[in-house]
Amino acid sequence: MQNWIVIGVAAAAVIYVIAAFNRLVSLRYRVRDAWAQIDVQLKRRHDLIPNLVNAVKGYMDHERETLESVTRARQQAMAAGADVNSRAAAEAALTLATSKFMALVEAYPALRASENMLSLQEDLNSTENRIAFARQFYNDSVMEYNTARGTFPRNLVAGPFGFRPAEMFALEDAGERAAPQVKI
Amino acid sequence: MTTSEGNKPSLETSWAPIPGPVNRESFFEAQRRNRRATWRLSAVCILAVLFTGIPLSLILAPPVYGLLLVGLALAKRYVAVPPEIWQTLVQVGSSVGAILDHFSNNKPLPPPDVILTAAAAVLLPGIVIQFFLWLGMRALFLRAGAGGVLLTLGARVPSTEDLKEKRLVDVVAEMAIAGGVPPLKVMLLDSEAGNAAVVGGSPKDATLVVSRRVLEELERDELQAVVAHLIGSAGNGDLHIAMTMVSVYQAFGLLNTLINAPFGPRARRALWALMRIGFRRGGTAEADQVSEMLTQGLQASDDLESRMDKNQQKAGCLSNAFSMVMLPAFFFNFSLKFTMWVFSFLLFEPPLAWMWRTRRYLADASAVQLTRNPDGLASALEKLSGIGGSIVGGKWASHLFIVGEHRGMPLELARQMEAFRAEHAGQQLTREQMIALAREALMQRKGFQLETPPARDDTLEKTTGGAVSFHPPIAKRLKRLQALGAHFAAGGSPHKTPRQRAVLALILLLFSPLLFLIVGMMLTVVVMLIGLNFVFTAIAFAIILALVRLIP
Repeated sequence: MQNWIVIGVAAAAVIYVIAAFNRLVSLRYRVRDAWAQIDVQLKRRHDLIPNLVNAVKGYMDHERETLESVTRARQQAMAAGADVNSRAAAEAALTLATSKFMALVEAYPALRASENMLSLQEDLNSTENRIAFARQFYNDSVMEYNTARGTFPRNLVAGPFGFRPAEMFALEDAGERAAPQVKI
Repeated sequence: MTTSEGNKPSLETSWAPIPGPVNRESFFEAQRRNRRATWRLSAVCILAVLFTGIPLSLILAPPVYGLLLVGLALAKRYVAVPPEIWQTLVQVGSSVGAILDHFSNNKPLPPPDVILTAAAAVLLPGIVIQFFLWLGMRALFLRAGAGGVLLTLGARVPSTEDLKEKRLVDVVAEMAIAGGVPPLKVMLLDSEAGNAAVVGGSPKDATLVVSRRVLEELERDELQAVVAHLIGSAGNGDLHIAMTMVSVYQAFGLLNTLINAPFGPRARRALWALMRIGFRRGGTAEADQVSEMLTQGLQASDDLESRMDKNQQKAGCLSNAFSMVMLPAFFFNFSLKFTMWVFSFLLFEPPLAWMWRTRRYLADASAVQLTRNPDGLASALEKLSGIGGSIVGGKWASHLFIVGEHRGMPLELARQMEAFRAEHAGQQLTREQMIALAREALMQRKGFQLETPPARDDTLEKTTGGAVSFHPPIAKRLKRLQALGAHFAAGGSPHKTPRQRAVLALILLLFSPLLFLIVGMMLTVVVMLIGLNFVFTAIAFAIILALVRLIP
């Protein structure tokens, strides 16, 4: 009888460990997937910017400096490599450059009203949103994962199997936190 | 997340004391609460459907046994029927008889095992039949998906040329990212009604159906909230729940259709169409049509009834005789339908509707989670309540829409309120005050008549008369959103004050005798129908049996 109780408890423990391990694994995959999604959206923005610059070239010849700064920021963001911090900085610089650029478009009524420009604005708007939502989903996933791996009794499983806490995607300084307003 | 178009100028220009979050609640908390409510109400629904099954089984039992007896009498001529079957039948008959004796002739109550045998014998056939009908319908329609009829009403793929349609596709992609799901398919309906729904079989192959009007009227962040509500709804598993819910109606409809099939072409057509989707022909849209065909007999006159009507008009000797022959079948059918109606109206539809409402609140909370912008959803709901009234696509899709049939909010009033909102931005106006103001302004305009749009018949609750709508009132949803952080003048707290509770209790107390009377009367009628059905069926089958014996 006693043996059976011991076996039963052990079996329950093993089943629990398996379930907890699997849940942690799936949550960790979701975090990774969410991180990859941010990359996809950032790349989308990189692809969009040449179109944007080309669309306005004819109208804004004497604003060459702004156009170049956007192009440069894009190149820097693309070359930023894998390091999270330097990438975040480069992307933030790109955001700033594009928002300055879009503010400039304001001054050209003919350009602003053109079908192509409206469509590009919508693209840019949506891309910024996608980046923001991808971050939001990433942070939500991280929160869920960290909660799952940190709470008792799952933390007893998480520790030995090497589930490290994931990091939130936080903005570095207050200047970045002020969302660039693309007023059109 | 914030877009260029700030639709709440009041928040930026002057920080007026707008009634802000009342009894603040986080959206995760709201989701948990609504999930719990769904579980509770689902349990009530299951109980209610089970209770509905009992009287229906009582009505179903006599014809089932009658058919069994006739079948046995016919079979006896060709094969030897084992005597055990006859013994069992006699035993069942005598135990039922003993119970009836107790009630009619004041005989002592038979022992419990006899009662149990009788109850099992009377209830089981009906319960088994209904259960399998329901299982079959559920399996069939789960495969076919929900609300497919919407895709046949001229739904089209959004064009990439049109800026507004492009925006919709973008917004759907954004919300799919926010929810961490693959992008959903989107279809547009060129409809006057401004409404949006999610249709399909599972979260993976769900399709958003948005009417063009929504794109015309809503700002970007409002559109985002609407899409987030629908994606959240699909993600929460509402499509599955919707189909299970509808399959209950369909099982009743199928029962009615099966009974009518020998008597008329319409029921046979419905069965034929059902067989077609059974063998994987046709898609979601066909499924909706079949739902309609199966249940139309429940609301309108079915084949048996129209046949009786025709006979009565003829009023010849022959047709009178025919009516006499048909009477038991007609009566059986009628009792079944009436009992279904009474029990669904009184018993299982209200909890079903309330359960579905918790899903709407849950999807609202999910939308806030995805957009982090309760204001967007609040103002979207407010706008849609004005333009979303007339639902396209019939009742098998009506509950899938974000807003239901609006009651008493004419389009002009909604527009006027929209204008007022901009005008009185920053003032402390509740929704009710706003409506009153708008109404007054409209009335002052010369020659203007406020027309309340006609109520529509094609919503799910109208299957049985519709005491409870499947959509929560907009004002209530706005109040819940206010608790989630919307700076929206919905007025008051989302929860009832003690005074409101007291008033409600008093009203209920005053009307309860009347309610009891109505419920009691309906139940009495059902009991009488069960008894009469038993008598009629017994007589009919006695005659049939005698005829079977007479035939050499």
